[in-house]
Amino acid sequence: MVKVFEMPIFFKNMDIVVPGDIIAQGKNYKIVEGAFRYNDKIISEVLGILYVRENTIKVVPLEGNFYIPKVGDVVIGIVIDYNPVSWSVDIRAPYLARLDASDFLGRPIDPNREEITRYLDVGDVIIGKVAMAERATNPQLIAHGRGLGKITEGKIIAVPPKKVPRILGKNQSMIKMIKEITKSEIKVSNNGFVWIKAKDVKIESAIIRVIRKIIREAHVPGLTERIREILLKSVGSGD
Amino acid sequence: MFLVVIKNGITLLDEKGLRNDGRRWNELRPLKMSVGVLKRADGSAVVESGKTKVLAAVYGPREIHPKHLALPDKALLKVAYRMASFSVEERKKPQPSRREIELSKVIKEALEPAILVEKFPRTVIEIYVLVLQADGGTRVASINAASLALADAGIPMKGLVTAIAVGRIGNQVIVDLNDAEDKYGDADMPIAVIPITGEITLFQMDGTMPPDLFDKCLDAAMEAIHKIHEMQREALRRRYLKIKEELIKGGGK
Repeated sequence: MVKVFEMPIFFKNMDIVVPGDIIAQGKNYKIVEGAFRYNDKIISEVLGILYVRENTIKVVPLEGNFYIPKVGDVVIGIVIDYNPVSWSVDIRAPYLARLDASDFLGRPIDPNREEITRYLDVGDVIIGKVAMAERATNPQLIAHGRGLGKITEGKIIAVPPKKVPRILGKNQSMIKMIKEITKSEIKVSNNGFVWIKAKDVKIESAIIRVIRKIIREAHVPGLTERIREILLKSVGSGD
Repeated sequence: MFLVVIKNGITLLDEKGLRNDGRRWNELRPLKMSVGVLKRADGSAVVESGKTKVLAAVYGPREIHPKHLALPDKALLKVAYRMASFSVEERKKPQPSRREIELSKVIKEALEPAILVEKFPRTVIEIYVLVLQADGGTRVASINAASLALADAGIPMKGLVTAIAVGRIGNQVIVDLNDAEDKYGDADMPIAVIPITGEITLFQMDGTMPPDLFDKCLDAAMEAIHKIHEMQREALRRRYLKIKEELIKGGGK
């Protein structure tokens, strides 16, 4: 006989939940993020939007001005210090990231022969990938490879790191749409920096405006369509 | 049939059973909460409970300085409870007093069980609570405000922490004490609870309390806490629902 499990749920998909809200009851739900189990209840741990798909529960946080590094994340960081073989990079996390010279240059370096400030100096901006992130040690970056390395042009704006998933959109739909309409290069890093390289200032400011709008209206459905309309109006169909 | 209690020229309970500000025994003072009041803080909240007004700001989790304070397995919670020098009738000296330092510790210990500090090792979460106006119950208002500010900062928590002060005047249990009741009443008992798990994270008492009244006090406190908890949830969601409504009204533009 098939055992029927009771799976009561107390919120609708896309509802706003606050810490301590009982989302559902029953052992059959799988938690993706943003919630924890207490006895047989599933409780939200952050202020966020609830996503329920079949038996998975996910709470995407709405607030949070901090970034906790995860392996594989793309981050934009600012070099704030160096020693003969590595740089210290501020990635807006509570932890300083370390970038070894060899992980930036792609070859071993002899600190007796060359100074690494020839390649990156304090104040330079890099785009890298988190190679290691553990509880006990500071994260390590790699900035060698396709799409990674030093940033020398364009504009960078800071956004709350928790809004990055909304700026990217489902399957990157939002960012793809913005890129297509504005014909610009945009990179959104997981730590909440957006790098923009646009044709002219007008398009650049239009992109910044819509990103601000996404941040404000992140929790309201139908965002992609609203953004498309605004972009088409301010930039035109892109020739 | 109420016993009239007058102390120091203040009618704490009149013949109708009303308190010095006209409330019934289990009536809360008008409570106002707003979230996200400070632009530069990661999270912030203001709680007004009658004449008591408290502002809380949260920063972090962020890098800890000096480094030797860092805890290897969890975030350090720093709480600073301060009273503005204009918050009381006679000017309070700005220097942190013994009481303020003690309350900082008490508030910290009331909030820490609710915060999932183990998610952020070697970091610090800073909470600043400023009492703008004091009329009794500042520590419970501070806990309510700080827990709202923590949620607003996006810090993962087991649940919101909700606090209330209960007490007694003679044989009468009273809820949400104001300054006069705190000073001249017979007992004052601030309680903080994580409503979702039922954990009591703050429990203090000043004065004396017979056992039967104690149980009544606790029940009254729990009832009030559930009311306040609902208001806290509402305060957090209000801001987002407002933007949503605005957009729906404006036809999505």
